[in-house]
This record gives sequence, structure tokens and C-alpha cells, in this order.
Amino acid sequence: MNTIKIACAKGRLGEQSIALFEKINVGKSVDLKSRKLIFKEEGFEFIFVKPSDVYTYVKSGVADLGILGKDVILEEDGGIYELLDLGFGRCTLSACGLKGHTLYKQDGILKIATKYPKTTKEFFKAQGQEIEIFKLNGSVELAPIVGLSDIIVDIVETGSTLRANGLEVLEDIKEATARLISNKASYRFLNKEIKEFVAKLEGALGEAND
Amino acid sequence: MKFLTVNEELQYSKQKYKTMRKMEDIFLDKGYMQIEPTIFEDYDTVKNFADPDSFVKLISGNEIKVLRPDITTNILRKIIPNINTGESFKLFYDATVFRRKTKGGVRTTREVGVEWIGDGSNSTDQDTLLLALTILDKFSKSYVMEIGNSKFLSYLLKGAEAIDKALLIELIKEKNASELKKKLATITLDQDKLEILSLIFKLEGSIAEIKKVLSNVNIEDDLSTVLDELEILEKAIQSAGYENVQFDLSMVPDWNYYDGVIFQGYIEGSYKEMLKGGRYDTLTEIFGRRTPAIGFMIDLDHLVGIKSEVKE
Repeated sequence: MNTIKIACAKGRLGEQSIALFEKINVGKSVDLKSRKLIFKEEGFEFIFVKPSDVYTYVKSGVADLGILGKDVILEEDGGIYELLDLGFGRCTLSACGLKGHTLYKQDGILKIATKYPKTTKEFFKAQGQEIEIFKLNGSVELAPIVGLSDIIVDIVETGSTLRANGLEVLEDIKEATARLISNKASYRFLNKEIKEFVAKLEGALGEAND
Repeated sequence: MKFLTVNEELQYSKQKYKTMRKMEDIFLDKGYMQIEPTIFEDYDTVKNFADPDSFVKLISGNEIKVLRPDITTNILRKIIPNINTGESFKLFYDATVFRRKTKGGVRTTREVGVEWIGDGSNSTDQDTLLLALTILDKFSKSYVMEIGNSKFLSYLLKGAEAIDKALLIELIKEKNASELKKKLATITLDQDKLEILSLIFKLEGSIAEIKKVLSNVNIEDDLSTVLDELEILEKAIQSAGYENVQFDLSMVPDWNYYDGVIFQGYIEGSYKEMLKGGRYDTLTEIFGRRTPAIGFMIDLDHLVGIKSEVKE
């Protein structure tokens, strides 16, 4: 029997992924409390990696499928199939800043700190706003407070982190949820297995919405 | 490609040479002749076919030359203006192409491919596909080929607004069922076409399976014809004994000039396609005269890098 290798994100996204898999009797081998990063069971192998690395593992074919946020997918340059919207991990990519800060500088360059340079560039190009990007890897909320940038583009869930730092959402850019992605070659070689797996997941998601 | 020792590099070269020789034998056996593409192209000619930022440019006196970025257009430029009615050429090539890497530096890709130009008979599609399958079969432990037809989506999306079309194609290319469903609810298009689009990712597998999915749907003649042509192809492939083929009507060609059957081959151990091709009559118009043309290309370094066994 062919094994499907799935790259899951460590952390909350991974926990929610396993919770979904359990509804279709998959993922029993996974022990999220252990420090192990690889779990094997009949028909499946799970590897746990940093969320931003799920794409790399799937694109390179080391993993056949992967679960990651749409926000990360948007920053990459394609080459994979996006088979299913899993619905969980919902958040919004938004432009945020100090209360009341303006989003559009007519005659100026808007300085933006973000983990998402590609998405940010595309959004503001469409708005016709000149920008300068500061790519950060974390604690992006600091940037406008210490004066590194005018605003930030970051994912927002409840908004509590923003509020705690005196920031607010200025404009929503894109909604993001967890997606199931597939390597293109794997999709062909494991076509039956992958389609069956996706159908079962759809069933489980459908029930959740009833 | 980097090697630790000279010996390693020579071993790799030897393997590449062996692979290439065997491939050439197959091509020669099927009546293909080798063509040598030119090394330099004029910037003004090539800039219309690919992103100029990806070119490796050289300044020679007052002229800007480009190291060949692509072989197919190189060959067409030579052949199409000089081809006479009734003439046809089966050509193969083995050449390096050059592209600029976005972060600087030059990427060289050794491409091996075939082009069958000028033959308008019905069997060219199936003969070319069978040749591609022969190559995939010979140079791998196991392979899968996906076959589609660019006309299917073309006809299906005729009548959609240009902006909608672009987004729909992108979503179909990603097999993004969830977002496609949402987008379809917002566009205006013929009801029958919308229904087929809602089923697009199920139009995969054998032609019989695909026809079953469409059994209760109204399909216009253009789409029906594409299906029937693919069915004839399927029969020819089965008769020749090849099994690992999946038809996929949601296939989006990664090259604008494909205009008819399109196909990609994957071999075990490879994370991306090894072989890709299709019919591209449309491109020949630009070189002077619409001429039947079909071909495919293999990334030789990628194939050799996988160290796949060659069946004797």
C-alpha cells in the first residue's frame, strides 16, 4: 500500500490538523507532546516542521501533502496544487498601525515592516502607493512604535496583540485559512490515494458545518 | 551542478552521455534528424517570446545579442520562413539554454527535445505521445503521464470577462477547488459552462471516467470534439501497451502557445515534471505561416541527476 507523506506545521496549526485527521481515523500515531518529528502509521507518514517550511518540503517532493496557512502560500511562487480549504486557522492579513495613522501618503513613500513582502508589494502597487519594505521575521508590531516603519502588514486573529501595543487594523488585505497543498508529481503518482483522502476530509469538514 | 571530486564529475558526464546516446538512438530510429540551433539570438526577435529580464545579454559592437533562452523558437525561426507546402521535418536537438537567475548569475539547462513541423496528418499527435511514453518508460523505474488539451479550457472560458478569465485560469492551474467554487458564483457565463467548470477537477482519469462525470451535462460540440479526439489518443496508447496515463481536462498549459494536446511526464524519484510538450501551431503563425507543429522537451540534467536506471 502506498504511503502519503504529510508535512504538518508545528504548533496550533498542527494540532488543528491532527484534530481534523482524527475525525477520519487518521493520525493515531501522532503524539504532539513528544519531541519526535516523524510519525508513521498504515498509509501515512507525518512530519512536523516549522510552518514557513511546509511549502519547501512539499515543493521538493519530500512530503506529498502539506498543511499551511494561505498567508504563507501567497508569499511563495506557486508550483504546487492547493487542494482544499480546511477552514481552521482563520486570520486576516491586514495593514495595521498606530491609531488613526494614514494608510496612503500622497506625495510620500510609506514605510512598511512585514513578514509578507510579496503580498504587501502587490497590494500597494494596486493602490498606486509607493512603499519601502522592511522584512522582519517576528514581533512586527514593534516596528511602528520604535519608528522603523509607518505601518505594518501582518496576520491578525483576535487583534489582542495589536491592541496591547496600541495599534489597530487600518485596512484588511486578505483572509487566510489553513490549506491542504500537494506536490505535483505526488498528485500523479498517488492520485487515487490523495483524491480519497481529500474526499474524506471534505466529508469531515462538511459534517462540522452542519 | 557541483561535484566534490573530478572523478564524481566525470562519472556524471559519462552517465549523461550514455543517456543522451540512448535517447538519440530512439529518435533516429523514429526518423528524427538532429538540428543544431544557433547560439546567439537577436534581442529584438526574442524579446517577444519570453521575459527580457531572464535573458543573458551580450553587447557586440552596436548590437545586443542574447544567449539562446529557448530552442523551439530558435528552430522555428530557421524552418518556418523556408518550409514549402507538403514538406515536413522531424527534428531533435540537444542543446543548452541560458537564463538569468533573479538573484544574479546564469542558469544553464541542457534541453533535449523533438519538434515535428509541417505534418498535418491525424497521426502526429499519437505518434509524438507514443515517443514521449517510450522515453519515459525506458528511462525510469516507473512513470506517470498526464494528458490534456488546451482547447478544452479555451472553449469553456470563451465568453467570460478577461479579468475573470485570468483569475479562473490561475485557480484551475492550482487545482484550487475551494476558491474556484467561490469565484464561479460571482461570474456571468453560460449555465452549461458553469456546470462543467464546477466539475473541472473531476474531469480526470480515463476518458470513460471523464465522460461518466459529464453524462448528465449539456456539452457543446467544440468540447465534445476535444473529448472524442482524446479518446482516439487513449485507444492508441492502450494498444501500444502503455498504462500509466491520466487524462486531465483541467490541465493549464504553462506556455501560451500551446494550442491542442498538451502533456507532462513524471518519473519516480522526481519532484517535478521530467518531460513536457504539446501542439503549438499558433506559435508558427508569428514566424510567417501557420504550420502544424508538435513537440516535447526533456531536462537532461534533471533526468541524469535522479540516477534512474535505464532499461536495456
